[in-house]
Amino acid sequence: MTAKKTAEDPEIPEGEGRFPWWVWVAVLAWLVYAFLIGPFALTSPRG
Amino acid sequence: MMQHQPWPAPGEASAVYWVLVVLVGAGLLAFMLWALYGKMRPRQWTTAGYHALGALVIIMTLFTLVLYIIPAHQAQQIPPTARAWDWKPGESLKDPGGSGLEGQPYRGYLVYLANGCTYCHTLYLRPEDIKTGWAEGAKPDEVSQMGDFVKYPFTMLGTQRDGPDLTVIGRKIPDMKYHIDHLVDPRKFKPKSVMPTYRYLSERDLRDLAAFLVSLGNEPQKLRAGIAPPPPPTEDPRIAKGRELYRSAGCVACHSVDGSPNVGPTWKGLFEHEIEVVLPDGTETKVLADEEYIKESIEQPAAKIVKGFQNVMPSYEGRFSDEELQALIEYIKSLR
Amino acid sequence: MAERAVKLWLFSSLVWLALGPLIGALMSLQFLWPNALNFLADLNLAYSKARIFHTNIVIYGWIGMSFVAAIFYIIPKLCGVELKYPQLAYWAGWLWNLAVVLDVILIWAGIVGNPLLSIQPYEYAEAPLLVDLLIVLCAVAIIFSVHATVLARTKPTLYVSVWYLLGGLYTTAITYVVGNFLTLAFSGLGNQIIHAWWLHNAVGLFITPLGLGIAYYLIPIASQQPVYSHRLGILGFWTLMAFYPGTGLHHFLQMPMPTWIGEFAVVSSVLLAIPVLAVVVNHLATPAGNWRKIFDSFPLRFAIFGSVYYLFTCIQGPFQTTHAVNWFVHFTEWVQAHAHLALTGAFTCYGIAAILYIFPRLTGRQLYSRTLANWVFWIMAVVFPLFYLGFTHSGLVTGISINILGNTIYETISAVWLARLFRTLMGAGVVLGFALFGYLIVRSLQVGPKFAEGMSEVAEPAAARVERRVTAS
Repeated sequence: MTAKKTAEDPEIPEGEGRFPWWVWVAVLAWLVYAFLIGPFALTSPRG
Repeated sequence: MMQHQPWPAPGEASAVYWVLVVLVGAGLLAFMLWALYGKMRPRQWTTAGYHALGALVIIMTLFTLVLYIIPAHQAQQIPPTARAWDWKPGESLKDPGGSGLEGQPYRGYLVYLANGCTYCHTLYLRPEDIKTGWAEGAKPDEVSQMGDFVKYPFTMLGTQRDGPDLTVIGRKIPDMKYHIDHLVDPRKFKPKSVMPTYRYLSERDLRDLAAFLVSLGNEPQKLRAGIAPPPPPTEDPRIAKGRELYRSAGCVACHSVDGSPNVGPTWKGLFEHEIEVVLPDGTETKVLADEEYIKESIEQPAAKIVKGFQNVMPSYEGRFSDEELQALIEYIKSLR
Repeated sequence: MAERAVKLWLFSSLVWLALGPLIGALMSLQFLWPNALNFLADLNLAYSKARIFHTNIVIYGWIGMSFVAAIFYIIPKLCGVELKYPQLAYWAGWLWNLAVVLDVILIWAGIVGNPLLSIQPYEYAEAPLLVDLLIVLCAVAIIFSVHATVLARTKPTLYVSVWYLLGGLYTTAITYVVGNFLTLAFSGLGNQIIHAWWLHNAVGLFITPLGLGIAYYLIPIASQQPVYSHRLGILGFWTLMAFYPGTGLHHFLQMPMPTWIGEFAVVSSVLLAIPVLAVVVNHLATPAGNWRKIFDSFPLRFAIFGSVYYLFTCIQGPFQTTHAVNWFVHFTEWVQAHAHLALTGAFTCYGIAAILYIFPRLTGRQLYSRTLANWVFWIMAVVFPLFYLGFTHSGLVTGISINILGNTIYETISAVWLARLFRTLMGAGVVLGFALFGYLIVRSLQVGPKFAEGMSEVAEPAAARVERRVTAS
């Protein structure tokens, strides 16, 4: 890897990727569960 | 989010708090959208810009710290309850169990700290504990309130329960001698316990720790006045022997003598009363708690189980002489 | 001198890695055969006390020292300069070791009621005040040296690792001062609330940012790929700094306190899913174009496994803070299992990856045995998850028995005995893995083949080397 690198290059180059679409699905599902379903779900505390 | 806790809070969050929450939430959403889809200029931050970002990291950290300091400060202003633990350094407590031992609860608290007791025992009762196995004989009005803790110099509520909660252990077993014996050899009283032995502690440490345990769950003013529990004035010597056995043989660990429920049924008012029991084959019946029944319950606990309890009691067959057995029965008789 | 500093921190951390988990295994034995092991209590090693040694040695001795070693190596690389004030960095290493030793000795001695020498009542900050002061001195030296290095950099842009590492050092300092000193100013429940702030931030603002900074360096460089996303780097870092600091009170959800601050902690914890996904997607997508590197590069393997464990930890973490789950698992070993997933799984893997990567470049020697390295890897990849599952199982059974069936703790102990035995056996396996790792490193000092940049960190077996030479010619 040292061979490929030129002097002014940063040690590690950075890409421009974004979240894959399924991450949004996961985050939304998680928020819906945590705030809307979880508190009233089967597993609610007794009493 | 779910339900409001039954304890009094020192002022819930104000409107300012909610405005703040909305602002911060909106800001974060905007930031997220920018970070993911916004236009990014070529990354050429000046050193001053980096310093500003570094300062922002520190500010964000301190922001939540302030949010925590507000209720922390409020919690210190709560008026203490009558049962608030308020033992002072150097103050000593006489064993209400009548053994004549004395110990310093405050120093005992430090011994509790130094030996890591807090990693298996908690010092607070939650409302839901009362309905589950965590409570082990605690009463509903013993659920912890803020005012209970105001006088503690520092708190060790605990995050883990590998043993029972100790919030009211002193109310349940007001006996220093028992606690010392239990610390030295836990499995003498609780055969299934996994608690390590604390026989390596000095005698003073043990006494102070026991005094601390006795101080838990009892109103300090009453303990200081020597009120709990009052020793009976005159009595049959067999009763005294029975009381001694009640402690030394470990009955105290599961059976109360003041009517409160524990792991096993209370002994108060037991004698010559009709009680509902479950036989090994599951049939329910009523028996009179006479001498025969008590003898049988000690030697073969599984033969008749009091309704509403589980049989966890080991058999004591052969542990007591006839004379000792009679002393225990006399003691139970005295608890009308 | 800078090299000597890195070496000192790195090799010290190995000693603590061998010791800390071993004490943990000794503790778990006491849950199984308490009577037979009464003699351990006579040596002041009853598990209530041993737990303090276990957590403190692992956090400050192993995680702390290996991470600082990595920081001293990585920051100069990313800044294109030598480490500044290496003398300071070197002597801070000795002082840090002294602090950890003193911490263990003082708590072992069990001094009662001395303001300077007695244990403090804060989880993970049990270190007596004297030790706290030594640690603060070290931290000042570390921060001074690292910050000066960053200021003297020749590359103007700071790579995401540098934000995490430098930012993480500052948040570590704040957190440590809060946990060990600010708590002294509060009594009653106020004390507990500040304690809670420290308790979770010991992980969230100390171990997490430093560990992630190290992984952000190792994964791209070991897989020879650019980092997947600059944007996700920004998102992950700033949302971490926004959501993590407020989570501490989820450890005391039902304690008597104002409801709003408890809910604030829960909401913060739930939102942690966002920075976690940003970081993990970034880590796992980076080597995507070059996956075969994972067969060759041990640092990459460990770092990737670290990130996978980090993902599991941080899915489980927000999940168990919600009331719907918390009432059921609170106070049980489920929570301790979770802590092990974070520290033994994620961050120890990062630490091992960092050492595997740095060692050859520091000493000029490859690690001598691929077989041994594979053993360590498979122990972390197979035995450790089993250890975690046994631990969690024990917690679940406790939760069911006490919360649903209404049994007391004594009636529950026999139900979890087998799970605890399993946990101990698997835990012993993990301890063995750490011992093998220590042996691998120390032995490589003597017999490791010569290393040059571009070679694999772990030497290939002699036969394979010969074969390749033959095919090449």
